[in-house]
Amino acid sequence: MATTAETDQPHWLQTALIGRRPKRTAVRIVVLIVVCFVWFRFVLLPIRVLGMSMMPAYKENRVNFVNRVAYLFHNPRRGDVVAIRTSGISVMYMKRIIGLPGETVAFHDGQAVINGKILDEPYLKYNCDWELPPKRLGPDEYYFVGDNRSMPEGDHEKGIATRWRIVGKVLL
Amino acid sequence: MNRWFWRTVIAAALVVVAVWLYSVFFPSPERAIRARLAQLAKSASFGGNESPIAAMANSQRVAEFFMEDVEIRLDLPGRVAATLSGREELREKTMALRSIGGGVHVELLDINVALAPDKKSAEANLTFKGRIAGEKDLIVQELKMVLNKIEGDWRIKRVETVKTLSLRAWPENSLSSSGILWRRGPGRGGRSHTFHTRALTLYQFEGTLPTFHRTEILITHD
Repeated sequence: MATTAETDQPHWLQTALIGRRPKRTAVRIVVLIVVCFVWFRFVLLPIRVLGMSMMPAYKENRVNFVNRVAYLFHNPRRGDVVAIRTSGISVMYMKRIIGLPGETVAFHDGQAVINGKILDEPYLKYNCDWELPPKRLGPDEYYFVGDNRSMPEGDHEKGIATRWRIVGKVLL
Repeated sequence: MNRWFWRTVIAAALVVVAVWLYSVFFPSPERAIRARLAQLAKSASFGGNESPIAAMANSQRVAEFFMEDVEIRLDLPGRVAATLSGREELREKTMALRSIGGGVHVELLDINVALAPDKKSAEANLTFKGRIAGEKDLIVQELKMVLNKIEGDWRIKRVETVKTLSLRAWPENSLSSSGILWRRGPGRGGRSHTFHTRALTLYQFEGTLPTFHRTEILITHD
């Protein structure tokens, strides 16, 4: 009897690798793969930060995530750091929103001016001397700029884009 | 029951293989354009140890992806702002770039293709990603290409930069009292966009060369 009982038990290695019920394990693996695919494709998109336009808040080569469902129930807000799509999401810009739809955005003496008032930006660590004339945003447009404004204005990628370009909010 | 199950599985697998083989041997225009642009990216990339003869041959190969009267308008902030006209000028510039050495790795990503109704011309919206050997920063630029089908091959007729983040201001008088806004700008390869207002998107073809300008009519509720 004891011998029979021993033969019914799967080998410990099999138990460790695929469990006591291989069919159930296979189903679990498939479900896990599907959940991971959906989660990391449509909910939290993993990204790697390249470039220095968001320094010092976001340093180069840091891994981060884009929360793609962040704006399902509300619109993007001023100060949010977001991922902006190019022709797809293989390469995206990472910028901070400083101007909201309908507002007028300008730069005077290196400071962002929204609707004629200087914007308080405590996250900025580098001074700049940018001068940009006022730009009025459309009803679906946002103004994006990086945190590192230590370079000449012409070398910093910034500007206006419509809402659909926002992929999601940067998580960390 | 079991026999029929396996027959159905095998039949389904055969159908999948047949569809796959058909798509390989008779690719759709969109697929052919993507493959063509992938070849272009491969040809445009080069290593630092390329010999002058190889550089000349490869520059010629790159030029063959373009039409004789190609027009290229590039504006990469902090890098280059140039206009090239004609395949010969392109070949010369490519040759000059390759002779500098160092090496460049080019990728053309997220290619969205919009075909013209006659299926002989198309617009591709894509992202150029370039890495120059020894440089830390990537070159990333959204591009728009217009391609024409010439003797079975898709050749590039026009290349221009697309400003992902533009500095264009919204016109002061655009918010009309009637609540109807209109705007015109370059299209985005057949993508549909979600607006907080109702949007109607039309694609306009101008002359024989499609420019795929998009006219958006936004009807506001406020």
